Amino acid sequence: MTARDMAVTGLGLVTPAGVGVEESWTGICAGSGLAARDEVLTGLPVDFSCRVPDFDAAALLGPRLTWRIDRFTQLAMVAARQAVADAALDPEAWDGPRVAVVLGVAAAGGDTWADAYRHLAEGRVDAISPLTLPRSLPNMVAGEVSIDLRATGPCLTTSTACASGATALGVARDLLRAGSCDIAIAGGTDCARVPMGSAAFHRLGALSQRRDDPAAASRPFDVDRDGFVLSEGAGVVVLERPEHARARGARIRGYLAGYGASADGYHATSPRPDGDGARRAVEAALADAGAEPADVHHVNAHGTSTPQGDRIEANLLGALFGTGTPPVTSVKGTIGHTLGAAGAVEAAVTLLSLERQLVPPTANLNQLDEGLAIDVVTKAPRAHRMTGALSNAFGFGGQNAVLFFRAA
Amino acid sequence: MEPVYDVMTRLLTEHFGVPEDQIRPDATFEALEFDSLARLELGMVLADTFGVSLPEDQVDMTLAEAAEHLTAAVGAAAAAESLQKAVR
Repeated sequence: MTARDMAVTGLGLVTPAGVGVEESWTGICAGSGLAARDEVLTGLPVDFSCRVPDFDAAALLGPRLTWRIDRFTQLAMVAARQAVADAALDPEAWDGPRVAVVLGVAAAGGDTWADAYRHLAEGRVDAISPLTLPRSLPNMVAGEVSIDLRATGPCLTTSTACASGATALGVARDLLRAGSCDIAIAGGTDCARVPMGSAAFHRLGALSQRRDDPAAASRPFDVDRDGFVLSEGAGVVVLERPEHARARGARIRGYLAGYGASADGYHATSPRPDGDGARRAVEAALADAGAEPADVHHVNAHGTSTPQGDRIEANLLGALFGTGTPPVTSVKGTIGHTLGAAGAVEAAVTLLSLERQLVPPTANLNQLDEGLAIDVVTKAPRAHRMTGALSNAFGFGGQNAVLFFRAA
Repeated sequence: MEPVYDVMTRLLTEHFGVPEDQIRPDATFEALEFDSLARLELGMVLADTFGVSLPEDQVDMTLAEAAEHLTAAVGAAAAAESLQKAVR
């Protein structure tokens, strides 16, 4: 640990593997793809997704709140409450103005907008809910969580597409380093497995077309990968300066030691073929942590299962680490691509890997693409001694965010 | 036809998540914690269901008064419609 590291004292996860950190970890370690036919996508070219199972928002949040907030906010609120409880913090007792909320989201309330547009097309302006904006604006996830937790310090939403959740952790870390807060609730959320999301990503050619076998559709780094699978979920962590955490006797689960951000400056949706932007983000995260490539003992890859993105990331890791790459995994084989949540969900999983000295497998990786010179963990979790790990997140627009964690 | 009061209270439970044990004829919307946004949404849902809604200053209205208002307004709207048809 260095003086600039931030302590992670709480984790919350809501993923297609389950509602809860242990449920999610166990499901991810099981290493089976969780995509299935999705009834809301019936009739669309891609009619499968990964869904959070048994997510009963009314039971978890109370029925009065549920109808006011879109699903992406519901997912985040449940994960945030989990993280705060895990950190043994009491929102009734804490100094609210010293608590920040920073949450990332990419797609936000697409279904809410779709409802409103349907009414508009029918000429029924009076049928458009007055809650359309409070439900769907991207900032409302951080706003609603701040209301729910009485966290009245800096309150921000980050939006860097599929890097949004990782960017949120980085920005929260910066707020703590600057002394703008003592506790930061940071994470990401999204629910893009809605008809508009599926149709639009399909039109981009980004989604797997494996309709006959959805569970095997997301297959990061596999030779037969053909795109990602839309998903939903949320991941939230509680960050504190180590001395603050120690002073209140908190359990420190690990440290966020480095954050690096960059842009490709290249193309709206394609990553730079030479991986330059992603490489600079990795190097910046390591430099920020005062670490070298040799200190990286595991990489939780962005690994979406797209032909091009996986190749560029694997090449980057191969170049960075030489012949001995550390064990790499992508949880997207199991839980699909949660977009704005991905960077935060995967940060939490990376931290759990460090804590448990166990790398989860990449589901559906039957044959590594022969051009990729990396050591991807497959089939079963791999026990591995590690003190430092990277979590990569790369978004549309060429926006990159990389986090480096140290074990406690 | 199902009484307006019953339809209205079912909406309060199903759409707004108001616990059934709080729904009584003498309960006001204020007591049921309907803030300004909830009242806007309620107005929309009622208009969608009955074709009429509540007056804007509904906050102190009891559920019985709201049902009475809606029943009268629905009746008036129906009467106006049948009158229009008769004239045509």
